Amino acid sequence: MGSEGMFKGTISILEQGLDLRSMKHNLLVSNIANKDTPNYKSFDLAVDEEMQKLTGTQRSIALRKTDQGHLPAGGFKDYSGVTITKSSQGVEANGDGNTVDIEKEMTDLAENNLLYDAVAQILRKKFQGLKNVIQGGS
Amino acid sequence: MNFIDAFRISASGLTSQRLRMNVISSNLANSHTTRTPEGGPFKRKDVVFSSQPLETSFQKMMQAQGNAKLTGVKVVGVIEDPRPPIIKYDPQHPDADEKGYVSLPNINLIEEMVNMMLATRSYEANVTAVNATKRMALKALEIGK
Amino acid sequence: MNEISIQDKIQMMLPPTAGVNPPKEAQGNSFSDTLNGALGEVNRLHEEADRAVTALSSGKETDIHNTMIALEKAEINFKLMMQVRNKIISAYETIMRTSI
Repeated sequence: MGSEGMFKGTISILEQGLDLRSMKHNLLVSNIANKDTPNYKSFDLAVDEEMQKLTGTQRSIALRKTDQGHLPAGGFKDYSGVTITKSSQGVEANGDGNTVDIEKEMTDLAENNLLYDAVAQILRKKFQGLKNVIQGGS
Repeated sequence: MNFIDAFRISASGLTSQRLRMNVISSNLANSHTTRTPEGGPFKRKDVVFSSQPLETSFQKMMQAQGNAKLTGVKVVGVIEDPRPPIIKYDPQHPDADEKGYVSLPNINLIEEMVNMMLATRSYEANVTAVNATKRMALKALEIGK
Repeated sequence: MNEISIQDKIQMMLPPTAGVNPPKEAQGNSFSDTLNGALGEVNRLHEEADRAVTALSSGKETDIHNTMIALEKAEINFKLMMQVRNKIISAYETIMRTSI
């Protein structure tokens, strides 16, 4: 009886969503901090595309076995396929090689934040649902 | 939510913008200073930003393609504006030379005010980023509730 | 269903332990194998949750949501096991009450 089965599927997808949005948040924060740095090129992560890539090819993230001491929480997930795009030329209105569009970064920050909250909320509800199912049926 | 790295990046942004504000304030305060220890009028100063890769154990980031490194920002130096000082004709001025011309600092008030607004905006943007990080982390803690 | 094997399994489960106990009989029927697998699962998820908490507090892993999810999974899995245990015990009691 692999009870892990109840954690595959939707919950696994939601977990991936959280991980990707967490990565994107760090990229956005990095862009914002380097808004005035000359020749800094902004980074981006297209979460929706990455989600489709991940759920298309692998239903759940492959767990790689590595050194026990290095194991982060939740096992070692393989995100090497995720593409982080670096803008080579862009908003040259900044004039010094910097490609950070601050309005875009701020709105992306708000949007990413909201979607992270939404996914966390949904995950919470799913866990609550599982607990109810397990306990309520006696 | 990988909040530690995000906070450090935003903190570096806040520090850098604050240093920039200090330099701008110094420029504004010295916009008419004609005597300095080095001799000559005060020279306008500016900061140089440089992106600083963060030492992070965020393994997922290092795996991802695109060679993305989380980068903070750092002020690596304060340089002097190479533009020549403003020459004004004012024989009454105690620092006027024999022809009656005074060298005033090459500081344009409008330019400094604009820079000040830009620095403030950048500072606020980083503050917003910190708040966003905090909210996400708190929300993640609620998953178990 | 083999009565003796159920008794063995319940005696193994009753003392509160998250460890995996080796099966008492040489070859288990599919039920005992399943049960051992399940107990191993509980143990594994609990260990993973412990690792997650340690990693978070030592700063090695700073993704809060991964830690919280690991804890949740361990808790849910454990609750499931407790329910299964209850069912097994009540089934055992029902059988024992059967008058011969």
